[in-house]
Amino acid sequence: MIVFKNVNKLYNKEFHAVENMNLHIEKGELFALIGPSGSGKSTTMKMINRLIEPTSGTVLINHKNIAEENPVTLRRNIGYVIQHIGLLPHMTIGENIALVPRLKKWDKEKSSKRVDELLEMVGLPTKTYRNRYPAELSGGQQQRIGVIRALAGDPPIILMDEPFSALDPISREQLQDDLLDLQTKFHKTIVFVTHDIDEAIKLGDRIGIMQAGKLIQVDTPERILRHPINDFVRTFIGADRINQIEKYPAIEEVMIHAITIFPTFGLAEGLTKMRKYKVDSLLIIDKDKTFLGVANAREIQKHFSNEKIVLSDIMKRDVQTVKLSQELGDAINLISEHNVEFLPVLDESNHLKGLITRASLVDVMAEQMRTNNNDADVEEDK
Amino acid sequence: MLANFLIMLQNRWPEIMIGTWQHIQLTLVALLIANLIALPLGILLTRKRKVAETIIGITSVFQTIPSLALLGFMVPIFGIGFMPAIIALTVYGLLPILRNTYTGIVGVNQAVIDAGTGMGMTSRQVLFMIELPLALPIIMAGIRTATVMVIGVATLAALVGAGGLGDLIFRGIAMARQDLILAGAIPVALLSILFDYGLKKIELFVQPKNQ
Amino acid sequence: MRKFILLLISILMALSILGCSSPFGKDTNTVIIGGKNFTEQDILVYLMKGVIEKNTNLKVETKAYLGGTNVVAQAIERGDLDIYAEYTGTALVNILGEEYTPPSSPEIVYEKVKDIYADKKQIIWLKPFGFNNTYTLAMRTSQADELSIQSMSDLAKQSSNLKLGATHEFLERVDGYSNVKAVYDMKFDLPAGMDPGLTYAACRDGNVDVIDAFSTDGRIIAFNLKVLEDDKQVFPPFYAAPLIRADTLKLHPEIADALNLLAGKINSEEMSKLNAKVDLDGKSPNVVANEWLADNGFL
Repeated sequence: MIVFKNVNKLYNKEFHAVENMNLHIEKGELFALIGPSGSGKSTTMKMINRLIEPTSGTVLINHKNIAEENPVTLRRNIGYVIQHIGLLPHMTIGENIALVPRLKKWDKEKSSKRVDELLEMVGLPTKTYRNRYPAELSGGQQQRIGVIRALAGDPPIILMDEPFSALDPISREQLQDDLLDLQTKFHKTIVFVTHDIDEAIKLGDRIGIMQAGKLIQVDTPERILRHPINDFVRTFIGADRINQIEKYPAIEEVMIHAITIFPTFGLAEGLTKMRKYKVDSLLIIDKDKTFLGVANAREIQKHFSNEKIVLSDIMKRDVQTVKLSQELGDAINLISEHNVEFLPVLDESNHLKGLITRASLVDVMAEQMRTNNNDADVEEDK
Repeated sequence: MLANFLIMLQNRWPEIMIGTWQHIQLTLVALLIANLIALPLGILLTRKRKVAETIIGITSVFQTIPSLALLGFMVPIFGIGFMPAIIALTVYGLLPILRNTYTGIVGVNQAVIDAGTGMGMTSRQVLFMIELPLALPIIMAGIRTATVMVIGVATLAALVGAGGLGDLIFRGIAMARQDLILAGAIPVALLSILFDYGLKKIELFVQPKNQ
Repeated sequence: MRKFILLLISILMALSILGCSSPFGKDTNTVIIGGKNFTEQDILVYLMKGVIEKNTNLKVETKAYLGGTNVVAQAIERGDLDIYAEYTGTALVNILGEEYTPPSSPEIVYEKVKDIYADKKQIIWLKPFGFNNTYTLAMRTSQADELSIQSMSDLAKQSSNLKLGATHEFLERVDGYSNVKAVYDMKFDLPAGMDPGLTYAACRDGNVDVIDAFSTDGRIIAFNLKVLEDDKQVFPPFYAAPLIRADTLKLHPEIADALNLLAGKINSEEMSKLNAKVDLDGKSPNVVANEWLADNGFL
């Protein structure tokens, strides 16, 4: 639907506001453009309705180069919602909504019907609100009008430039929900600029992340969260979602004390130790704590009648371990991939340091969820 | 005392009427020309902001010339009569209108203009549907200031043979007759109040109704 | 620079103190000549000073540009001045408040004011200088010739086609425009009132055709304007003559002889030229007066 081909925007011949942008926004998708301020996301968006002209490259809408179209006609077919509400203070709500229809010279009856329809749709009764002036409405109500005004001319494309950033969190949530509602009804192609990753994740069918004029990663929210392409993206999505996915505590903090035994001990000794500590496996180490293997209860039971053998004869040497320097996430992956109950934690020279078990991980996860919920509560109290 | 004044008024009534009529003519013509120049120029300057300060600076310089001196400058160039008076009054009325038009439009919230442009308004539509309506109170204030000023300064037109209520005032000064001065000054004050009131009414009528 | 200014100020102050007459009575060998606040009066002050100093042993102190008619007239009555030049018409109408009833003659007016002054004010009118600085109407000489206008009566006949520009004072004075209009049956359209400084140039430039003028104004000659004859003597004669306090004259009768040397020596045209030298050529009244005295053998 909207295609950027090698688009560049330079200011003063040196500042690269947008650099070599290639992007394909699909029909009917809500595409969230996100990035820190100055990353070029607004500039990119404004090149779609030609409020800003690219220095080089082309922007196509429905395979047509928009540079060849009349900007005024173009804009009348692209809804536009801006950050600072931008309602015309000297016109009533009705007149504001009917602005684009008026510019498009719809007949009065048609645009009037459209106004009523849209007002009802966002839960603002026509009778009450139609003849009011913007100053009589709350910020949230005003921006709701801003959104439906963009819909009034029935444009296939809507551009939204940080539309909810000035609102309080509750109004913001409501308007985001409203927008999702409207989008399921109308399936517009929406380009939504935001600097709020939560908003982008909530609203976007796909997210485009920009940094210093460059589009760094474009993907679904899910895939971006799972596979950030580089550190910038990782910190960018992380910055707003502390502890949620990446930021586990270090392995060292999670690991528990391992029950160890030397390889020269007999099976009966091993079994006694297991009973004493209520474990079903023993980690076998030599005198300098180098990890050798694991002896589990089943193997000991199997060979218990043979009094001549020692633990080193029955221990399992091929054991999945994790290094102390690795992330906890790696440990979780290893546990689930290899379907093991525990992972011995070793340092660089294979000395045993501790143990991570499925049970200890569950504790960590539980703790994690608890703190996250607390954070969310705090958020809502604001 | 009062009786004498009333008798004088009665005797002078035709002169007062002529003077008032001339005064209104001077004021209206000068204001019309000043508006015709200053309004478009003010709008133009909002599109060429680099030169705006310079141009407004130049008109402010005109403003600082004492009105009497300004009138004096006109005489060698335009002789005496209606013409130099109109030109001096026009120059005088220019600045408030120009400055208020410019600052009024520049002061319109950029977000609203962006919204308008983004919705597909032509720059003409942005001007007439957004900028002018929103700047109107300030522009009208400028016109009112100019009007009251021009009505006052127009009394000096009598010095260059353009007539008006100043004629009575200067006759009174020449003869040291207070009553004659009043016969000119009172109608001038009344005209100022009347014009100011009328323009205020017009302003309220055309003003955007966003409390 | 500041020191210089301070020095200048102190010199000026010193001079002004020295210049002032002593508050403890007048030096009997000094007479004070005053003048009104316009050019012609300035020149007259220095002309009178010149002949008195030349022909008597008296010292002359001048108080030129003192103020308007009222100021100067009161000053001589109080004795602050001994001598100044007054105009017969002004004395009659403005100072004595008498009515001027045309037709009349310069001589009748002169005799009348002379008698009243001597009688009531103990101020003596000496002999007139010879010029008549009257209100008059003037127009461009070229246009006057073209229309064959010599007098105000001639003008009246063609007045409906001509434009009158005049000072506000002339338009308002009882003995000004309203009188002229009535006596000559002038038919001007609405006259244009304007600043006294503009009338002569406005006439020269053709903005107006007829103006009120003072017959001895330097601009009449300089701008090639023609003074119209007041054939019905609407305007009082404004012949200028020296006035002197009777007590001063008694002390120094020689002053009368000296001043009467100027009697009849300066006609209106001559006075216009002298005024023009000051107003248009920018010379100082003192210099102009002394040049004239020298040229005419008074020094």
